[in-house]
Amino acid sequence: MSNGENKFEHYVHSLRFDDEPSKDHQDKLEKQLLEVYDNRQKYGGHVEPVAVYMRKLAIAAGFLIVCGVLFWGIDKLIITEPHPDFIANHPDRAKLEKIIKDEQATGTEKKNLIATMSDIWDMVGNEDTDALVSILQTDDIARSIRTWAAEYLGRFGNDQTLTMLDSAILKLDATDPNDPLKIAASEIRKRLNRPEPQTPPGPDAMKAPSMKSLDDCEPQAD
Amino acid sequence: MAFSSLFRRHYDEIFRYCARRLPDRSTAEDITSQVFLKMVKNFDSFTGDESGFRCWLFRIACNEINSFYRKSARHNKAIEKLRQQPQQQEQLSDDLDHENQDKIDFLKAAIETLKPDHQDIVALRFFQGLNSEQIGDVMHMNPATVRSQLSRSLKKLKKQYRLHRQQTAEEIFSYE
Repeated sequence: MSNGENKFEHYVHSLRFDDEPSKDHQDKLEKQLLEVYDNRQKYGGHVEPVAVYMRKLAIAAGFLIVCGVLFWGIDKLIITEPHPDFIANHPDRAKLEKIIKDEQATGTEKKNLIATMSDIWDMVGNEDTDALVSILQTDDIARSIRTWAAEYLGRFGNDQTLTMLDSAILKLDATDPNDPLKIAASEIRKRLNRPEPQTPPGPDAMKAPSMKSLDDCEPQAD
Repeated sequence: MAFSSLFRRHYDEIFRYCARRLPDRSTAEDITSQVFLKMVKNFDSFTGDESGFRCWLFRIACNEINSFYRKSARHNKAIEKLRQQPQQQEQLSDDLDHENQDKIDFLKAAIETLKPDHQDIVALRFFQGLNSEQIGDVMHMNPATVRSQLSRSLKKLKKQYRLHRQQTAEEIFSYE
């Protein structure tokens, strides 16, 4: 041992460390170790303290929660968040911006509105007439959006679409000429040169003749 | 039970070793617990004798302490501490005076600047009083390697003391 090593050893020994063992800690630890040791003896050495199991369980649960939140977030993002440039790059940009403005939509509402527009635009792209006819009947969707959808449906709808639209008009008793269903039907008719439907006869047409008029028909007595 | 008696026989020295190397008592107790829990888990696989058992425990303790410093990044803090003025106010235990605590803090911080293997060697040598052969058994090293690494570590420690406590460096290390 060198002199330097010797001196350093004396120096370290001259220091008073706070290293007095605690009887309390020793007893608790011994108890815990004996438990672990006994369990290992009983179950073939594969049993871990409950605390370790709980920790593993907590980690697994935490992992699942994180995965769930991530999945939910991504799912929500995919479903509700349209392409950020959807409006900016859309050929009807001005019209769509006006719809958003008229609807006074902000925050989540605006996000949902754009998502609906994006969905409708996909239907238009796929010429999904059934889905579009269904959209035109949905009161939950802003009328301005349905009108926008109706204009596109009018461009590619066929006779079958017309039948569906007429049926919906009759069912919903849509009399307003600005109703999206009517707009779409009218556009298709113009494009396919189909005649406008006959207005169904009014309720008065079916009334029975009055008794007074029958009396009038009786032969006159001489 | 053999297990219990082994625990009681070695608890004190393992705790003291942890307390001298770690920043505070509570950390020392935590690490001591981990050392013995690891010991229990692998108890059946240990086949050596009593002296081998002691070496094995110290090996686990060294690993746990190094792992603690790696995880807590205290190593960097210790180096930073050495760069600052050594006289720092710390909360003291009732029975430890300020000067003594300051010396201990500085010593721990200086040791933390060494490589993990060298920290183990210095701590086992000066905190536990193990000789080169015993340290070699713990560290799975040749005693000659232990001696040379110990010598290098002491030179580095002396340098740390010289930089920060020039007036006391020669009192602590008289060689060179």
